[in-house]
Amino acid sequence: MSLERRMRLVEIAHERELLVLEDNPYSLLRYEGEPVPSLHSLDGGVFVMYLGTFSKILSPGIRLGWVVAPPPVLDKINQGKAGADLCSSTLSQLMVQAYFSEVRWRDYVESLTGIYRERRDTMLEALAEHFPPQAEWTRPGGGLFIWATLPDFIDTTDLLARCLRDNVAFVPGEQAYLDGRGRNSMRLNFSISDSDTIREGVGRMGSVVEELVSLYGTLTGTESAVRRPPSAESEPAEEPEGGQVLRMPRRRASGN
Amino acid sequence: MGRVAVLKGGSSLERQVSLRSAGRVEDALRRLGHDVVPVDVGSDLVERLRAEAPDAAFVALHGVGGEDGTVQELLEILGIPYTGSGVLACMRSMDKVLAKHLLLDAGIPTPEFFAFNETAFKDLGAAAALPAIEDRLDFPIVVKPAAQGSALGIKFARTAADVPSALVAAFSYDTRVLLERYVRGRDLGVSVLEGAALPVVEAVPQEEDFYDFESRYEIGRTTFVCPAELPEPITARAQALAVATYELLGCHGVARVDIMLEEATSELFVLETNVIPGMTDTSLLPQAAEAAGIAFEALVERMLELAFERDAGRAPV
Repeated sequence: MSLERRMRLVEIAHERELLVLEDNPYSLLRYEGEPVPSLHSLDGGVFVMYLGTFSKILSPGIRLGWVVAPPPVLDKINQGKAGADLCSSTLSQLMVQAYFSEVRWRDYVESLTGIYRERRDTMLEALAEHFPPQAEWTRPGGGLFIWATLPDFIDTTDLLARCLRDNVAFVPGEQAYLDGRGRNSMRLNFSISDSDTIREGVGRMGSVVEELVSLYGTLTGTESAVRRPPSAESEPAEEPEGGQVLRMPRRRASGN
Repeated sequence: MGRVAVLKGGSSLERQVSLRSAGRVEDALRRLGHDVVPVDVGSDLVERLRAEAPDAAFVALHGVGGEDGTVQELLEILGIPYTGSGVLACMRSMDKVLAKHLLLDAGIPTPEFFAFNETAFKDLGAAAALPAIEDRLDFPIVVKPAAQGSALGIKFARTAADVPSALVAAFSYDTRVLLERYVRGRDLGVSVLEGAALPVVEAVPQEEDFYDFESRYEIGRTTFVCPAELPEPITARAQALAVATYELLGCHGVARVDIMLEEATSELFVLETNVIPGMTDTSLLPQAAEAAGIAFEALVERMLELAFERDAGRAPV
């Protein structure tokens, strides 16, 4: 979310006295550009509650996180948590506390961002190589995902069904919205697989997309997609402004 | 009392629905005193069935793999009695194109349709035939993958401009698709148990203008009326069509026949047959059975008995 949108959101929360829950698992995973200030810091902790997690900076299996919230809210959260599971494992909590107080944890996060940056770049390269010219995607400055948008005649929920036959999966974009938007978008994760797997996976998805684009071309009598020229692969990336996730517009669909 | 393997899950797109159906079936079987062996179907299916040596298999799978005769064929080979229809009826029902041709030949009304495979479009220029089809069917048209349970991949084309993307979606699920005349009207599900029709259930979607995959399985998004409030002759005709379809396809045990009651003409049209109807808490078969005075446990028990009866009626191999 851009700084402007964040500021506006905090403004609305203040105007209308709305509580905002900021779930922020990825902010420490930054690959380039300056981090955008959290909603919590913009708001000063009045209406924004903050959720952090150790799962992305230590280990997913730890199942521990932290909350920053006004005391009355915190009190209710504690009651709810106690009602749900009594208490997270004390042993895990002590281990995490020791880790963060005694280990140079920032070095570890840095090594993680190094790995993820490389995987992000691999995925960006693979997308440029395998996705049709009508597709476009973000170049995230942080986090674990690339948001890709396909020509509007492809519904990514249906595409997922086809891609699963080739053992490759993604999150259909529709699930990121409440109002039916995002139907031709997809969220691609680049953190979990190694570079070879990412190339292979994007290649498989690219073949399916190409097949569908070509089928659509046949059905509408429009030209089928040509593969992006190889020179486009090494296009220099624009520097993201203010660390926000930038959209990298590719050639748009012709509208046919 | 016996040892019953409940086959569920698998890698079909309807895995989650299957798990929900199976969960209820397993509970019921346990309450009935059976020794239940839950089996999430995967590459070790044959090995597991050999090792567990169940007396019967309760097939609670939905979609490709479970409902198309594949698992049934394996159970035949292993000699394990199983619930529901045999291989051939599964194949006929899962393949909507084949089923519709059989219906037409038998004089059972089904909406007019045209079917294509990918080759027709890629290599034989079928796209050129689309305008003629669109003229014949009239909009809106429903575009469906030939083999898929539930409503996955089914799209509505309101105008000719919607047809190509609807076909692209349908081809994501199958190499064959069908374009079908849309019958505007009421959505009826007629379950058949042992060749006899149960009370008709009407599915009334709440918000969407189409009975989509999610609303079909989410409580609150579709209201079910059972028995459906219909004039007696229409109920009788819907039930007769369901039984005729069940027999035509060679179903065994249970099946659910989906029928549309056209608003404009009061005519009934058979859309498709589901040989492994859902057993979830929002599913139509359990609702229909209950309306007929058959509790869920009794339904499950009867389905199991029918599996043994069919097996007993066969000559030993």
